[in-house]
Amino acid sequence: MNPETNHLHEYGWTLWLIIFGMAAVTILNRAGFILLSGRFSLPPKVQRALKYAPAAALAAIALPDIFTSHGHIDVSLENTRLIAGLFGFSIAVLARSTLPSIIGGMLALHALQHWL
Amino acid sequence: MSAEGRDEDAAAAALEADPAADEVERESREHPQSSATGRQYASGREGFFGGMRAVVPFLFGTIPFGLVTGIATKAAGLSAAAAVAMTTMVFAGTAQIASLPLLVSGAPGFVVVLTAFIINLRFVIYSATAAPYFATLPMRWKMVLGYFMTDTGFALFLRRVAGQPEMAFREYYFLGSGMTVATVWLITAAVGVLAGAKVPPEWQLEFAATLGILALLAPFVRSKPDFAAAATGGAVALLASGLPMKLGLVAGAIAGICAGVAAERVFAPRAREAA
Repeated sequence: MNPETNHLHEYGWTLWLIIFGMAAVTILNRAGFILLSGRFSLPPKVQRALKYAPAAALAAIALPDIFTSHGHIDVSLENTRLIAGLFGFSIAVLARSTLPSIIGGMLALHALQHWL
Repeated sequence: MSAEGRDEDAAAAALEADPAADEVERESREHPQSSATGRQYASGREGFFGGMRAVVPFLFGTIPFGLVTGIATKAAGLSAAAAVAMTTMVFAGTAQIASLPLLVSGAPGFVVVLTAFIINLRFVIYSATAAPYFATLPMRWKMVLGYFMTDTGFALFLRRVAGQPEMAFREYYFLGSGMTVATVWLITAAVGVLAGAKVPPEWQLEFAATLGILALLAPFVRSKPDFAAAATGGAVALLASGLPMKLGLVAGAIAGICAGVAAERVFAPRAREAA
């Protein structure tokens, strides 16, 4: 996520459609079974599969983001976002807390960019 | 309405996938009177305040999460209006933070929406588990309760009704905890949006969104199948990152879910069925 390559402004008003879309699918997930209550239930097998959705999707977003730089896979010390990302993730695992992990990761990013 | 057998199974499965459940468990161990067991409420008002009180310890997690979400949303380049609208309407920080790198990279709208859907699939489990407890309520109640379904609120509610399946005014209890979390979340996110606008670009705060996703990933990766789901999801998305329209991300998520299910069979064959 580099400010020079931020494509956000290209969405224009469709950004609002995207926000409405995200809101709609989220409320559907949240309220769906409560609204249908009694008439339908979710098979245990499906529930078990859905359990893995957050881990799979979050990793699918974050890993390509840190393992590439300038559009190529980059597993080296030069890739400061990879090192800082892994550092932040380790803090999250050890401290079980979001904020220290983000602060630690940001500090690591700046330290690496400064010293490398 | 029953809370035994299949439902309990579902509850256990849901709690296992829920990062907030961890906190609830710790909390109820430290303050055994506060959430797991409790008295009957005599009125909706009492139930509502009961829910409010029960959720207070968890606000220490909500506050930084709201700030981070607000700051990251502003740093990604959204206008303050769009950032606040997203925070209010989507009301799901994990999906919101996850959408930011996609928006910055110019992913097509349907991929962003689909990603939010996949990340929030965990709410389907919560919703299905909580549904029997709200089955007899009128439709308008159900819609309101659906909106206020959060990781923390669900975990807290489930702890409470597990010990007291016929608890009176449980919908007020759920609403009390949900509205408290929502209020604190919206205020802190708005503060984050305002603060984010003042941060100079050299701080590269856009990276905070990626770090946020990694931090949110951590509590979902506890067992071997969880790890298989995350590793496969990440690897497939990385290798497929050349696909147009960010579809590599969707491919990774689907492959990760399949890997998790497959790994569950390898590492714990039959264990679940026996439980």
